Amino acid sequence: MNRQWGQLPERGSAWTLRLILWIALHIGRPAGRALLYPITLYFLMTAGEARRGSQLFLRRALNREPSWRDRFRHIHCFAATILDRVYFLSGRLEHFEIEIVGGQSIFDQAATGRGCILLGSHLGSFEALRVIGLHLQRLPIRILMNTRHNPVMTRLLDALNPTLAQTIIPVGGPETLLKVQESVGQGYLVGALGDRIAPGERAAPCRFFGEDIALPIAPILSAALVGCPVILCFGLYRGGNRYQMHFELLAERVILDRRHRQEQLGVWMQRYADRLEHYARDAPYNWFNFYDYWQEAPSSLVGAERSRATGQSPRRFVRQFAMGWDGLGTLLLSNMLLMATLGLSGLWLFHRVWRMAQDTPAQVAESGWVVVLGVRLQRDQVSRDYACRLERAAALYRADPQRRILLVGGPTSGSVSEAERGRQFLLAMGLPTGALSIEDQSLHTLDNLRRTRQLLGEVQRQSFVLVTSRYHLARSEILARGLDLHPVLCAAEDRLRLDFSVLWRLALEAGYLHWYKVGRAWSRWTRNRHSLARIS
Amino acid sequence: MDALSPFELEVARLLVETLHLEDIKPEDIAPEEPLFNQGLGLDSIDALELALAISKIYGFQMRSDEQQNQRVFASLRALSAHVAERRTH
Repeated sequence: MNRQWGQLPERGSAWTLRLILWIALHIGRPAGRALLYPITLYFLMTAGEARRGSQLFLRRALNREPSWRDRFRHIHCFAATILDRVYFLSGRLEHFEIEIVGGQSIFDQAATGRGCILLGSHLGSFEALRVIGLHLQRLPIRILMNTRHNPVMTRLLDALNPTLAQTIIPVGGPETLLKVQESVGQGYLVGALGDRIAPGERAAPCRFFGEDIALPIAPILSAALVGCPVILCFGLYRGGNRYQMHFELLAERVILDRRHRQEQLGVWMQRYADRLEHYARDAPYNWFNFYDYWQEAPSSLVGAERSRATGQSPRRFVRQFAMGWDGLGTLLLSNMLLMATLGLSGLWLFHRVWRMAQDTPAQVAESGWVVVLGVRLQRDQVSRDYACRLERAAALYRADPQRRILLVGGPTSGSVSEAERGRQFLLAMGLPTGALSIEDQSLHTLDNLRRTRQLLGEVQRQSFVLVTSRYHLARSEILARGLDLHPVLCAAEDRLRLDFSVLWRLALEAGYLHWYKVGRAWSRWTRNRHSLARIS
Repeated sequence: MDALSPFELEVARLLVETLHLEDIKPEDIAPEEPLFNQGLGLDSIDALELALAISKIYGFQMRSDEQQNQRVFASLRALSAHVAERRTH
């Protein structure tokens, strides 16, 4: 269930949004910030892609291998700015201490009455920048924003701050840059984020931390076409309640000669990349591109202005990381319930997880299908937990060769799927190919079980054996029951070995279950049918 | 295939020239084919360049009205008709 709430689309989340708002606005920022710690810890342990993205960036920015403290700080910084967005959007700026550096460039520009491009990034909080620009300085700002993938956020914004809502230029469609042109013509400072490429967007190669990346050409090229200045802006979060806004004039005019347009554009874009790198070194924990930023191989881009970005959208990782408002809301609620019951509700679940881990047998009489849940591979190899599960499945097969084994688990890291590695492991143990089936698309426990349900079909699904690690049994059973599956559980290890790491796993599982149960209750209560459909 | 009218051909030439569509001949553009996304595969940057070129040559500003643009940018034929209607020189 690690990510199930995260996969919920934004619609149907209005209730959860209201809950978050209520907590943030009524209980206050200190309470909200206290909740950031468990949330950060949770992400650090579960959001693998985001954690790797963080590591890849910090390694370059800090010039050393990031420690756990660095990574915690990185994710905490992100979570803190997300929480602060609520205050910014609702106009509660009295909470904050805001310093403006280089503001003259932007005030001068606004004073001329002519528009410009405000080029920002996912370094720090762009939200802070525009709210402060609008409210404190009364600057005429409009922002290019992708509103389509986030209709609930858009509605929230409308409700919280109608003035702000009118300042958005939606991205997508041929008319986007025409709107930018019009706005600049009317004297607006048009904000755009220049550090991420959408799939299919035109991009050009730049150097960033000494390596190649691809950046979108649209912001600077449109400034050149429209004939307006480009001002860089970075809204850095400096911890506590301090934000620091940096403004710098990049170009009074970007003049491109048609014949050398591509090279000249490249020079301007490189200047942007250099300033981005400068500020990213200065405030590394403000880097909110939580994916492998250097993955988009720009080699294919060299030599053609019309070349477009390929590959998957970084949004996928971002969405997974940010897990949607439903996930955040129910996690907050779960934490509040824990606090309200002085941890008793968590203790009760811990007891349950522990009892199941201890009492479940390692042998079963049931014949038919044996389903083995995959475990994340370590450097493409089977981990110790996974080996244990596979050995148990092999023992079950040897006890009754009529049994068939189904391995489930997609490529959660690296190139090969968990199921395929598991199959190779069992083949190496001497099991025949005919006894093994694999399902190598699913990415987490809930997905595993959902696909198992499809694969085994109606006839088989009443009775099959589910092999998993002892600590994982309680979660697997609860999720299976939610899907109306009734497996016979079989523990991978002979007996429960109690040491610190196992206790920690059990506590973590209890945390998951607490979140799951609170989330389910919340969904039922708010009749959030969409999220219920996901887990049943 | 549908033949281009002389004015459609003129707009097609402007399109190919402005956007540097090197491998496309103006007379080969299908008049009813979509210009954006599918078809010619133009994007928002192209739309802006096109609008700037049109304003220079035909003397009117394209507006960013979404409804209208969906119609105007639907095909070469629709675009040509719009230019013919709005042009001031």
